[in-house]
Amino acid sequence: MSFSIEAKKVTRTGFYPAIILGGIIAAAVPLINIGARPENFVNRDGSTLAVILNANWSMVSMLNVFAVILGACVMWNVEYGERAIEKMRTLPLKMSSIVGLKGILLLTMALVPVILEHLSIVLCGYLWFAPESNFIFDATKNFIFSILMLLPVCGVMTAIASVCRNMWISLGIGVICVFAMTIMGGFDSFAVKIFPFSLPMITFAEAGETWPSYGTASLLETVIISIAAGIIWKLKVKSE
Amino acid sequence: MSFAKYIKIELTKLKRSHIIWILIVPVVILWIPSIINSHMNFDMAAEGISPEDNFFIQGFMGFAWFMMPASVVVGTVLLVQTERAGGGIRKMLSLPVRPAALCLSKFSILLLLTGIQVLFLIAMYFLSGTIASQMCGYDLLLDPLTVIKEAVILYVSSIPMTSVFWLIAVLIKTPSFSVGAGLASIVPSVLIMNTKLWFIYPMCYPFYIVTVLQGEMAKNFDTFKFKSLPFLPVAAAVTVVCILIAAISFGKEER
Repeated sequence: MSFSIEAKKVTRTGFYPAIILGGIIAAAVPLINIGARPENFVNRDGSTLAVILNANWSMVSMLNVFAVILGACVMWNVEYGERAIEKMRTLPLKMSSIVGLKGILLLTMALVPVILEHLSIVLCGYLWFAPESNFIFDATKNFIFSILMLLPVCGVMTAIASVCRNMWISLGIGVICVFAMTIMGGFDSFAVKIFPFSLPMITFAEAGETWPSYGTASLLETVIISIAAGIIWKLKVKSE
Repeated sequence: MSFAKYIKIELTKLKRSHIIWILIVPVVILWIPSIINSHMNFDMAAEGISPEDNFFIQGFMGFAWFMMPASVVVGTVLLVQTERAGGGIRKMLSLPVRPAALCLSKFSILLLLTGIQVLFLIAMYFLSGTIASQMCGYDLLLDPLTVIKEAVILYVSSIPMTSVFWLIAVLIKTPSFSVGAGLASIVPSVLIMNTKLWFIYPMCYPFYIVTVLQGEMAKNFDTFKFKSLPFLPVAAAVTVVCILIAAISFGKEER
């Protein structure tokens, strides 16, 4: 019931088409990048999946993070834009669940680009490469891993946007975090790589043997962030 | 009403926006790795770039490729959303103002915000350069005039991009699409920069300009050579056309 309310609130903001469109653009990146000059890629060393991901994943994952940032900003702008949140408070609704429901909705929508991108990666593999027998299996593993890596950033953005009355502040914080991630990218340390905004950049092959540590880090972060987001939101509701 | 008055009104609206922090924080973050990794500036002999040139150019490149365009996008959100709250734009347009002048003043504010950010960039360059110089026992700072000249070139190269982002913000009313288009357009700029048609894509101008400078500084580094044609006329045309269309269509729905 309440989830459908949250899902309905954003229908007129362009939330759904914007994220789907973002997913289509992100999915087009490997097709255009490789399709325009396949001869540059087909003879590279490594598996088909590794070649496709190396050439495109940094751009694609950045678009994914942007989609999450934008989604979170738009979602909460509905509440704060026309002071809807104050009207909501007068209704017999449980205010505390809003933040969780929005987080889940954001994550659900964030899956759309990831699905489209992996379909496009598989398509690239069959159009221009001679994929190995385990290509589909590896792509599936990467798909599941990518979703896992996307969890913390969904949580963080939900938390940030839930407390920012003004959309440009939450958007600004989001892009600054992405920027910090690109700047710190030069440091080759696990602590930097598990920053919520850096995790989505990592592919399953890149994580390699250490994938369980990344997976655990991501899940732990998600749990901590979710609890923190819940507490912050409760305090925010109480203080107003 | 004079144009200066329009600008003054717009500045009043920004007073409580906290936008200044969104401008300063990334510039501070930008130089931290440069200070920590300052010893790496001495390992660039293969590229044929001097340590002080490298320290300068790495920071400016880091700023130009992502944060500079992203800050402009955030700025457009600020300008659009402050008017939307409480139907501000309808009230504004009911006053004896010329919508085109209003639009132009908002665009000027956008340019001003980027200008402020570039000023912080220069200030932080000198601060972090001084710290890094102390750490390395080597003067990593360039001549202030050179730095200011390059910063001005960088700033001017961002104006066409700012006009495109402003046009997008004016034409597309739904923030999901206008902000989404802005953010998404930053990502492929490195790809487009490497094609022959880079000059029709204003979002890559700032990064292109800094990359050209890097090529001039690093003797053994093969990168773009600056050609003013057809870049300059195209850039000028894009800027003028975007500003004109924005001014004509500004607030059309509300008028």
